[in-house]
Amino acid sequence: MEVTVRVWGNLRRFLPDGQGSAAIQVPDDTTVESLADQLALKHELWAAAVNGRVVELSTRLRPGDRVVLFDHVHGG
Amino acid sequence: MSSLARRVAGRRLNRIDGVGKVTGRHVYAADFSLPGMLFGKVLRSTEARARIVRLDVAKARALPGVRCILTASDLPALRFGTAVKDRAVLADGEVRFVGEAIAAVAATSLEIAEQAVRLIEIEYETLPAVFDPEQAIARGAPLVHEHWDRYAALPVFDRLGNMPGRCSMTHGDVEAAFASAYRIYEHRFSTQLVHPGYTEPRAAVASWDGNGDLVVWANTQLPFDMKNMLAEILDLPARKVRVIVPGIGGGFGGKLRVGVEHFAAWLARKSGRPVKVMTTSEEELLDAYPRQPTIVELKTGVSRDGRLVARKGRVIVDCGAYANSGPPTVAIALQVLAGPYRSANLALEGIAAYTNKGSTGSFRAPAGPMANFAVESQIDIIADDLGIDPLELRLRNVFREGDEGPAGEKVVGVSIEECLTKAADAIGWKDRKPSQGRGKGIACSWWLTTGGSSGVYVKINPEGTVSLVSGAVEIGTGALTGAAQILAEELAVDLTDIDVTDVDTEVAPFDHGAQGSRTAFSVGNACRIAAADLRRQIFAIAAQQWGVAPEDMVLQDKGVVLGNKRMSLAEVASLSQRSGGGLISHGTAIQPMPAHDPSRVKNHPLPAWTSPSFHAHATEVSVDQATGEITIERYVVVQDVGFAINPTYIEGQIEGGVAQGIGQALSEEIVYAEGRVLNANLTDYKMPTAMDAPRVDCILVEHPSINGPYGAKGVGEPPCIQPPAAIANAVAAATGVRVHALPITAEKIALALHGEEK
Repeated sequence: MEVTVRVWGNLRRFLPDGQGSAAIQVPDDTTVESLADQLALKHELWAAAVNGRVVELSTRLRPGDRVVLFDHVHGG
Repeated sequence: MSSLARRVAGRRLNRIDGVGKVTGRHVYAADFSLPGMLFGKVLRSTEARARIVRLDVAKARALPGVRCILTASDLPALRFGTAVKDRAVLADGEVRFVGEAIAAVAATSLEIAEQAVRLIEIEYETLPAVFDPEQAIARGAPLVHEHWDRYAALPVFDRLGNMPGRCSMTHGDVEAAFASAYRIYEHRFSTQLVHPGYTEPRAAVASWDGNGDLVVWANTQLPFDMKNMLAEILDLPARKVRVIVPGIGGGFGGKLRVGVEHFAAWLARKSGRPVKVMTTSEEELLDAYPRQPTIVELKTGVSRDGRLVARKGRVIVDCGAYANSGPPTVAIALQVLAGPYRSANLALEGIAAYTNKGSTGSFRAPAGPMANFAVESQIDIIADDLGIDPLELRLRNVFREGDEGPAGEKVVGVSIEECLTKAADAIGWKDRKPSQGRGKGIACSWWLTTGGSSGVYVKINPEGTVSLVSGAVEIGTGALTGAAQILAEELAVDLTDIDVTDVDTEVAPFDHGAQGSRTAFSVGNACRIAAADLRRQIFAIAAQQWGVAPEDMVLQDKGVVLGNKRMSLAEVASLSQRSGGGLISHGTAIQPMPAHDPSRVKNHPLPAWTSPSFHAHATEVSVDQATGEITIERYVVVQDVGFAINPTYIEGQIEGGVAQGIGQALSEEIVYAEGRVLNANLTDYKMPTAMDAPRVDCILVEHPSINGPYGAKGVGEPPCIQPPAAIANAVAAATGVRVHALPITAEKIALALHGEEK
């Protein structure tokens, strides 16, 4: 199935060419966490949202889901 | 291994970047230039909220020497931001604060660029504005962003109208606890807008190469974030943007975000020439990333014996016209409001508010001083009312090892009791009010060591020296010296054997940035991982040379040793290079998020703190009974640093942080009146000078963290958190006057002591 992944800030480097978003083919049983693993950014993933809602990383994805991944916030 | 057993880590060694800086040879971004470079200047709004009805650049364009003028109509209609993408590079038809960028000019000299800016004609139609954050979040207030709901935003933040972020932390049953409390205290505190006060203004030089790639030399704390943000602003793949940090004269969180780099990049793209843009002091005070003004309402219930049984709080941070760091800052404020105290019942709410003032940022320990001023002032008020010594009240309530934090996380490496006791002893707490007009105050806090990954490349060269390539910037803290000390320790070399390169995003591995008290901690961890890999490589080569197994080999005194066999690292590196490859390794480290109870937090991007540190400040002040002038007679900081990687630079961080905190406590404020800054210059904006800063006695406590190198904790931010509260408490002890709104000026004290005498 295909999902749309949008990443903010420093996570851009894990998408092709450092683009901010991409359509990604994933297996049917993909969760947010396994998607992050597929993109090799699991170690930097701090939180995620699917279709505009913040979700647990164990959330199963469905075809066409819009996934937003973001990393750690910045300090001072 | 204790610090006594270490050769390099834990020692007071000279910093690796010291000579260039003290001799003036170090090239900062402000010094940097390229041949054929143009100079950029920005036209800024004189209105707090207005529609731009006419913008005519014809006269400016005709000025000899002007090479390029940009307005919003020349740029793609996109918005950028970290929490909320709410800001355009140049005002797109509407300005939202005095100082907002409207047009940018590139010319052959700075003087011509400035003259061209003055020649741009502009007419405004004034629109309703809102300057007070409480008014801004009230029903019916003018919307700072009419179309706020169309902006892209990180979904973790709950947004509505003039509130770009709302969050909460709750636990237990607060109302039931208040109902059974012995006493309840309700207070309101406020803090002011203060500038980070870095020595070097924000500066950037941008240049495009023949392949259409952008190179930016800038004094950013976050080169990788800058690269990604510029790619977004310029609508480029991130690989087309390269950021180099030649040198940075301080940041304090004020150089995390895009400041002038986007102007330089766009002007360079349109003019076809390298362009430099650098801010003036006036621009710094109109449009930088200062600390948010904050209002804290705090309600605390206590038992008869002074145990905190319930706490309810609301924090409003005034983001200014653009959200930037406001939403995460208000979230972090909730942890500061809760801790370092145990409380079974919490109900904390945070609101970030838009107003028509300059945007704000992540000034050192964002949310720290503001929330701590409220918490620690109120603790003293409660203690006085209950007739309990303020130190004793704190000791009855602070975290103990293994306690639950506000999000249900297990708090470890706790040392707050020791910090408080040592600070009290050092200041002579038993004699808290030694004479009329003289008093002592104490305040404590906790703070996080920010996560995010750090990568390093390490190479041992054939002459035995070590090259360390880090993506983290040395912003003046000495953090990279600390990381290099860890690397030297791990490789059994001297600190002087290590060379650290300046940051270039094209060649350095990713780093989350020099921010959040994380640099020495995180880069140090990455160095340990890279060194472990190098040891494996070294032992394998030695094993092959000696025809033995690598077990039991150690690194010692710049060489590998097994029994009476010894080979220098230089020899090993030569052998490795001759066989192709060389001794090269890569290390990446990231802190895991502590386990916590997600039901306790809502819309919070950082629910549980990683590797928290603990600290207590104590001060003695004297107050002139006639004028209200406050003199800080003594200042003591006890800070738990986990492991002191280099005590000298930790003490430097503490001394500097206290000076910044004193500025916020006593004198600094960007003063607004009806949307206009009244003191946009460094004469009327009163930062402490060396003459104002007291001697600071630093006592370092070492309770190891789980994740830090040798147990280290973050160091850089905490020292500026407690000064406002500690000084406020000392002033109250000296005069009986409790100031609820920073800064604590002589005028406020004198008025409180004498009334408005005519």
